[in-house]
Amino acid sequence: MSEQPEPVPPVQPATLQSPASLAWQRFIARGSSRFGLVVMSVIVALGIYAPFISNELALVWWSKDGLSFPAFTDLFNRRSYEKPHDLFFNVAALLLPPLLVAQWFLRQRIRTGRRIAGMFALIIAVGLMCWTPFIPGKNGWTAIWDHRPFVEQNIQTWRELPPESRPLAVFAPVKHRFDATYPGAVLQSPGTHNPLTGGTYWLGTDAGGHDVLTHLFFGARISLTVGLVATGLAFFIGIIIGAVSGYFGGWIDILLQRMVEIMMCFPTFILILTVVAMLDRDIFIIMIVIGLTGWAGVARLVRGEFLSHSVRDYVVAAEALGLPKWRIMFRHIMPNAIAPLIISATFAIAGSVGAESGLAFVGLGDPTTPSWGVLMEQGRQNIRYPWLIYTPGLAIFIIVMTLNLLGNNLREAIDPKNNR
Amino acid sequence: MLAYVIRRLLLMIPTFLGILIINFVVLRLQGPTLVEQMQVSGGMGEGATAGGGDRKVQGAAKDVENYLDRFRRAGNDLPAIINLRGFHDAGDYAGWLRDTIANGRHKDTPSKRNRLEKELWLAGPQAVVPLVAVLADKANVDIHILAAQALTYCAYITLNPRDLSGMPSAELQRIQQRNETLRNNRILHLNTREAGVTVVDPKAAEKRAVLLALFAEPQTQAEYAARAGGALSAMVFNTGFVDFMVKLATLDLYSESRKEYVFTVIADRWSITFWLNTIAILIAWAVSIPLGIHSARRIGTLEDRITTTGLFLAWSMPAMFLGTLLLYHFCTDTAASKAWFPNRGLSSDGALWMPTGAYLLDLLWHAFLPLMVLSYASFTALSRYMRANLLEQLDADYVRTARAKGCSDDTVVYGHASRNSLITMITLGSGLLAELFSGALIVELIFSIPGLGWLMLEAAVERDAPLLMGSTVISVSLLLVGILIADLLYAVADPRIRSRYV
Amino acid sequence: MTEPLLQFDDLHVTFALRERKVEAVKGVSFTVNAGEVVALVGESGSGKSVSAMSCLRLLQEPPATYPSGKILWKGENILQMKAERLRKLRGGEIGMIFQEPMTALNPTWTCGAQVAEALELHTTLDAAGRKARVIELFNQVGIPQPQTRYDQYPHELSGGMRQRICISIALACDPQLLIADEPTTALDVTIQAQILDLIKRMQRERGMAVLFITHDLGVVAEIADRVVLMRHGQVVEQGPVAEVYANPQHPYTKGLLACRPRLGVKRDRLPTVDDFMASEA
Repeated sequence: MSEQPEPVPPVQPATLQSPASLAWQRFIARGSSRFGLVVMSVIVALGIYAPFISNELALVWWSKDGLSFPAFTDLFNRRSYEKPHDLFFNVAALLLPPLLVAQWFLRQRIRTGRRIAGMFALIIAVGLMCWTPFIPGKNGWTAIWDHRPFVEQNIQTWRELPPESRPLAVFAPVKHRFDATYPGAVLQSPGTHNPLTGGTYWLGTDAGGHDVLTHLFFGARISLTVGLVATGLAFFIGIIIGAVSGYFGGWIDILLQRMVEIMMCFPTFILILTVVAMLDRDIFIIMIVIGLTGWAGVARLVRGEFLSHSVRDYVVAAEALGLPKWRIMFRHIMPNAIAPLIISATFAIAGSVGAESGLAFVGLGDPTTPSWGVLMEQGRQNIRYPWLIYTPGLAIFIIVMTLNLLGNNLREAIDPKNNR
Repeated sequence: MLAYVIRRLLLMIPTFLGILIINFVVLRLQGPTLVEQMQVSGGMGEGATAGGGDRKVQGAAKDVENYLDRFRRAGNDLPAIINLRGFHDAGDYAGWLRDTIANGRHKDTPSKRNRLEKELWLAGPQAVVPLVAVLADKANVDIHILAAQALTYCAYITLNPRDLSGMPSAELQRIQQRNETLRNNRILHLNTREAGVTVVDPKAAEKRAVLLALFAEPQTQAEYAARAGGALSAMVFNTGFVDFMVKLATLDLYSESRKEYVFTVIADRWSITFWLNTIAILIAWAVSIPLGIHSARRIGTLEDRITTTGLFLAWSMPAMFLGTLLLYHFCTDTAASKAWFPNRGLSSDGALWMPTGAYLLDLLWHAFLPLMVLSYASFTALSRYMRANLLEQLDADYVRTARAKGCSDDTVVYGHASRNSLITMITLGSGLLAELFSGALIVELIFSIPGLGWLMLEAAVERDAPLLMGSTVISVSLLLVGILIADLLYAVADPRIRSRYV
Repeated sequence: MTEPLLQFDDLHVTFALRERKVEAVKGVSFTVNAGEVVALVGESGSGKSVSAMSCLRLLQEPPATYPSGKILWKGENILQMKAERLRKLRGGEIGMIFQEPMTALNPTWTCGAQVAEALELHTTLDAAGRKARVIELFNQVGIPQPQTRYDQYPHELSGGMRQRICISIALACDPQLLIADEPTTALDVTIQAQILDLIKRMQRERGMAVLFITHDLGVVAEIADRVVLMRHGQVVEQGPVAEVYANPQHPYTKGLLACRPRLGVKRDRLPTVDDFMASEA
């Protein structure tokens, strides 16, 4: 027998693999995930850059008075974009290129998790500032986002000028405004010519005389906003309630569980109906209400995760070290619970989009917004105009399908069933 | 088993109450205020002048009275959950009246105004004694007019149909006389909105004297105090919610805007919703379970992948899109062709006179598309769950034992594995019920089916609180009953649970 | 010599997973004769369970493939049997019991029904006859109060009882071979002893062959006539128990036998199998 066993040399793994990066690799390896991400990016890009795709104003206007970019300066014109979410997307349109460039250049310096978290924090900060325009400076945003006079450098004035004195102007591909109703243009079928702007209603017009194609692009903004805000709110509430309930247990748990059960048994559609009917038909209120009624499932999920983790040894060890409770909950247990939450969030966004369209469909939507649900409602009321049914329907279908696809693939990536 | 059922029922009661309370409170948040409505309907002496305005005043007063009656019969004058009015004394009321004058009504934010109004003008019998004290106190000369106004509203006794039949006629007469006096001595007070001009009823001082005389007798004051009840018991029992529950229990809910009893309206509609939903669930099960089993047995094949993709697309398709598409393509008459399916309701005209067979066929023809739209969304969820569950079961040890025994593949799948999967599927069934309720609204709207969902939408839009609360009670009850049945089935089917509770 | 009952003839089993292939069994050959108890011994991952399950083709066929080799049951190749013949084999001619009695029974069927199902598949008894036979089996395997147990569900019984139920399922149709895949590993020591005694008794009374899979050398010594040692998917040594224990040939066997901790022997350091394998080329 040998004197001593030989020391076993330490094993060097080829690359250090965290569960997150492993899951990401599994996710991105599937073709359908890549497809879904591409489609999602296209939808987001269409929503963000809608003012540049579909605008009456010129993108570039070069007359003898000088060079100007009316579409850009109009971004902060409250007369054109009077809702906070429009402001948010306009700001995003300007911020997005530098943000992406910064992400690219910082990819070596800062870890991916921190970079992405930083980007999200920035987005949320901008979002909050948009909805409460009183924060920075004396007048805050109101100094920038103000009612400005009607801009002259648009397609209609351009066409009215005699051809020789027309300035050099570059226009957006679709030369309609989303809030403009053209006289006599109610319920026109696709392909009708618009005499005022010289353009065509590629997808027809709706019952209010708006161009449907433009509403398609701007409606993406609404859907994305509703999805993200409602889901964000629901998850915020749900995570806190679930974490407290699961970690502390005892009578807090019992009390909160009763609340969760009430919310789950509640046909929340009834509650949303009631609240939205009582309050104004404002898109913001609809978002908040959908979020406030949807936290129950999240809370239950988080509670389950926290319950199962809080008895595990690593948590006991952390407690023995004397870490404060909130730190244990959110820095130690939370990263383990996040995986099912991300999956659930993807489906929740799809659900919120569906809920908002559903509300608009039954007549409780915000008619001043170019929401897809409002279009569908018009489609239902005026049943002989199929473009009012197909356009918003396919749009909602695509966004929901893409989100479901991504959610499915995330589920497979995080929890692979290898031998199937 | 009975103990299990009772225990489940008892656990459901707080849930049920919680849902009702939440809904009730939300409904009360933005209800119309008495004062605004009175101004709208011409009360509060708007535009009244001294002389010829008298008749208009009388007319306006009658309107206000009707509105007040309706408001009170609906229980809207009571605070929602807790009634603290009994704890306020004359000094509090004096303070409020002074606040009203000091702030000037038109300057108040609507919410402040509403709160003041509800506390003051709708305080009912609880405010009578303090307000009389305020009116009698000579130091309150600046607020006498407002106090008198408030008193006439608070002291006015709204009679319910129940009261009319139940009360002895002497008491009824006395109340009606008192109401008459109150009505005739209503004091005018123009809103200070109108360029700072305040026109006061010239007979104000007289009317005040009459009012004071009316309430001078301690017997009158005692009557009102008795109606108010003790402050503590009134705190809980003189609330809108308790009033609603009492009306619910006695089936006395009345919808003022529709002028009908709530449960009459619901009775026509709820059975349609119930049957549609039940049949939709059955269809969903009948299609999904075999589909899921079939899919699980042929996992990985092309057939399986096509089915999965198809189901996935069906799941992503919003119901309103599919429904409206179907409506457009199959139910609309165009110049060229007649529609294949009817586009409204569940029966054609003259259906009641058809023979039974033809009636059933007609029903089926009408209900076919709505049922399809109602159930298709569940296909994916159910069959996918069944498939996943079955695959899990097929991996289990007992399946291996069964195979080692010599069971054929079919026996293993149907006799052993499916049975275990079905048990867990039952709990899914109750989740379906909640989904269906929201989906039903869209289907009812598209196909013009008079069901409960549509009724609730109308009630919500019209802000018809009794109708909305009544329908909520019905749908939540149906939901909870469905969940209870699912739990019972689960307990009965799974022997592990059965032996614990039976 | 009479024809062996079960013969493994250079069996190869490969699992074809999505990313790679795993060769679980790489050329295993041994036989089981009628009436004898053969112990199949090895560590986890040695391929013993896979070999045993291949006897009844209980592995999921898509990942599991049999690139070469045969398993002969009385001359017939099990790997090429048709479905119908395989069904008759399973339970009718070969019975098998598994490691985990807690999960081996269907929770929603009564114990009696599960045993009766085996009888239904392979015998022509009617319902009453089956029930009588089940009660008889219960008595034989030592289940007290068999009438009550017939209608009880598995979750109402303890682990030892459940294993007895599984044994009665396996023996219901009088098979000629019983394959026992680590039947006592998941049980308490006292129950272990009882189950082992039961298997020994059944084997003696019925004269059936037993293929006993285990990793416990003590159990082997107690119950087996011959032992087959497997490592990494291959047979490293086989022979009568007494011989192999007295004169192990293969370093692995030597290592296994030497590594058993013994009371009363003082050592500074317990030997491991690797010490012995180091001497192998």
